[in-house]
Amino acid sequence: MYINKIYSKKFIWPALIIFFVLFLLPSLLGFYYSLTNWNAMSDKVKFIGLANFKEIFGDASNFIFIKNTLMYAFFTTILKVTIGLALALMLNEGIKSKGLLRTIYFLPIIISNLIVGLMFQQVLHPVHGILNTGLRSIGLGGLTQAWLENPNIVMWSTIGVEVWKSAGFVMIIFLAGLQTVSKETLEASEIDGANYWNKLTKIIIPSISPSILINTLLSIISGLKVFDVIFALTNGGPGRSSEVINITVFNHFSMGNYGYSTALGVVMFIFLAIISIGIITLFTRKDADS
Amino acid sequence: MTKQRKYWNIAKEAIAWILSLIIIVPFLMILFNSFKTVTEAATMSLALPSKFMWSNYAEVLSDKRIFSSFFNSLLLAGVSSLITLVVSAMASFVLSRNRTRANMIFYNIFLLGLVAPMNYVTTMKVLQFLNIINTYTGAYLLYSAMFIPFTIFLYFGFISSIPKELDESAIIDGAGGGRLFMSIIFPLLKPVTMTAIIINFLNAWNDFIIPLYFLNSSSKWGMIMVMYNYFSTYISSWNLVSAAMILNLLPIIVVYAVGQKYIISGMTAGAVKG
Repeated sequence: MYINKIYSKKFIWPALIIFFVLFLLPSLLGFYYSLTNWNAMSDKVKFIGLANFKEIFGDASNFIFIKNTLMYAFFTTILKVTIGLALALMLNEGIKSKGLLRTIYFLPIIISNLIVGLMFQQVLHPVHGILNTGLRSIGLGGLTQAWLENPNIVMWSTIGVEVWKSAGFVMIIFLAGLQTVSKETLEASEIDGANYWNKLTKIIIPSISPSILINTLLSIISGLKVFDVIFALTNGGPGRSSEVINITVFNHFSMGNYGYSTALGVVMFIFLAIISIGIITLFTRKDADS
Repeated sequence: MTKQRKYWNIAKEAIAWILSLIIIVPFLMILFNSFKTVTEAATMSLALPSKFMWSNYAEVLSDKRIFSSFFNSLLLAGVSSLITLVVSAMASFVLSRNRTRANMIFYNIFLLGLVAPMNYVTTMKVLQFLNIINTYTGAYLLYSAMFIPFTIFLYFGFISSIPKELDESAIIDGAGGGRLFMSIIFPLLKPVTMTAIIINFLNAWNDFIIPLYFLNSSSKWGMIMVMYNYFSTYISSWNLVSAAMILNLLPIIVVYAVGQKYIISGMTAGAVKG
């Protein structure tokens, strides 16, 4: 009783109200409006059942953004986790300028995605961009590409830009995880004649499995939600070849197809809710264990 | 053995610096381009400018929108991170100290916001209904709604590590919930408060999705949106666009330089506890 008076619920209300009204409520409303023909043309909102969802999954041309979103989430996760781990292992010990290097590798994460996008429009320019001129100058002219103009390559370019931007973030989390690896165990294994590969696979990786889990989940979630990097880099083009779900949502929003756009949002919400419930159960199970 | 290790460390350091060029070179390119003439900048090369055109910056700065948008950004990011901070600290205080079943449910609802996507289209509906669409009030509250989950997550963990005896002695001295929070707990949260305010400030500063969807009048835009607009207008003048980008990067780099320690500790908080 007394405890409930000191730690009163009134402290929670402001945060809960803001979060509920502007975050949860729109998501809940989304379930209703995704079943309507709500649009900018008419004032009447009519209930049309699952027609929007049928349209989304029935239209074969929509597979491109579903495929692109999954491909982006999958490959950015694999590349960010591998490269981030390699960078963290490299910086973890024996490097004098560790602090400065860490600052540099981490820098892109604090830069607006819009600036990153505009920057890479220049870097990846087919004729003048420093990537292609660089490749030519070291005799690898055969590898030059129209990075953002070739529909078969553009998704890989956006994946590359995301890895450039976020590998440093993954690295920072791994660096924190690596501090928990027991030095005694590593030294003991060395005396027993373990080489670096043994140490890495038998001791280091198992000890940092929490960081691997966090990095993987964060990368998958941000990959599925991606909008601004691609918006600034290609805006989904050329054609629809680099369109991801959030770009489609925005395009239909701009066209005034609110019901359809909401239905797309609901598809994404369900997808991510499944993943997030998974995360929360993982977290709480761990709390119960310890 | 040790000698071999020493050489290996030197090699590793050299490789690490070479790799860092991948990060540095694009920034250098923008910096060089911002000082070039239009024709020189069009080649987008890494060459130093043949003549330093400070006039590029003068021209960008002659556009008065740059200044007003700087203050707009300051206002948007400042107020949003302040609101987020106050309401999240208060909520975490009670959620962490009084773990009733209901409070744990609330906490999990907040955590859901860490992963669930925002539904922009129906958010517009809610903003219209509350009559705050296309207003700063709407933007502040939206940013707060977006940042509250992460901020509560940070505070919740930190408050758990503060000994409860402090609360008890304050309560015995006759302090109520409000006094206890204001004069005992909140001052102890300073490290997390710094982390939260810097990360939320940067996120709001860098964001352009909220203005893209919900702030239609360009007079309300922050620096990032104005720069994007600038880019569409001067699409062939990469020298001016680059100068505008550098001007945009400056405030962010300053915040990063000052607050790096807090940013990194906040971002790793989740992983270490993981």
